[in-house]
Amino acid sequence: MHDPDAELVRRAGAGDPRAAEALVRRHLSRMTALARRMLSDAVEAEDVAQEVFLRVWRAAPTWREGQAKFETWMHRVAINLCYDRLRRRRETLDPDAGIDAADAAPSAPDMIVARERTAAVHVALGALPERQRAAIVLCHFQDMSNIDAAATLEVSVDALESLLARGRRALKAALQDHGGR
Amino acid sequence: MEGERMSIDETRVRAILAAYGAEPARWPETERQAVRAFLSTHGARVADAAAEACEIDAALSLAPAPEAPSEDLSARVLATAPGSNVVPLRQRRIGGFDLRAVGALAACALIGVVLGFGSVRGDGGDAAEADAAFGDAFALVAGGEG
Repeated sequence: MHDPDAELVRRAGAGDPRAAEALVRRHLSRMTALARRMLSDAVEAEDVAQEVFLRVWRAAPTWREGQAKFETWMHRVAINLCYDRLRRRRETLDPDAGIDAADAAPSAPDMIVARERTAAVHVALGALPERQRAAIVLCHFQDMSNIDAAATLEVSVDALESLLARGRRALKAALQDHGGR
Repeated sequence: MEGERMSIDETRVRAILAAYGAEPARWPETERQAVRAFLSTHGARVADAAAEACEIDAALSLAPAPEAPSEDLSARVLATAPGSNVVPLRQRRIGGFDLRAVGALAACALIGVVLGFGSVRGDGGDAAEADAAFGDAFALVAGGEG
């Protein structure tokens, strides 16, 4: 299996700034988007993306093609960093952590229905158990194949499908609750 | 690589719809054709599952798109790459001082010089002397940034 990033990683690891720039151009947006959807916090998402690339630069000089696909490995690093931050949030017992204040704010009377629905989806996603959220983010928003997503989460494809199905059901239930209020 | 699966049963089609939704591009590659074939012949049997999958897909499509990363983030990330000699503005320092702080000090100095120059003119002092002082002040500020 050819890894489209392998050559860039090798060159970046050897100190080629153009290769590093190409990797950043190719992956920074996706890493930031992934972390943003996992953490619902733009600043923390940028911190995670930056940390992912610090690890990329450290790993690049010794990266060998044929292990995991490089992008899958990056996603795994990002997801684990997000899990760490979500765990720390739970430990601080902040009930609002993970949801931007603006998203959680009660809807203004003049808020249009579509915008309210968008906010409801965002909040419902943020309220999913983190592994279910990660599965949905990888497969739905990052457009990963089931095999790559399962590898990223270090689970079997069957387990991934279970996470996806439970996550989607929970999302639907949360949105029905929201609509019924 | 695992080959294309040619036949599939209703239970598996329901499981795929529940996990991956109604968009064929998201279905497992090795089962995609089989699911399509099943739906074209027995679609009515799983119409409820397909409708639910569509409904959840539509909800997910409403999730707001994350903003693009800032230019500053790209610069910070690139500054840490192997072989990089680029230092992002946020971290750039001169003589132990953060560049932004140095810039702010220089701006303050410039404003002070201009105000001082104005007061000299206002006192009716010698214009040539004031012009020279003004020029010296700019040279000082410019020299301080180098």
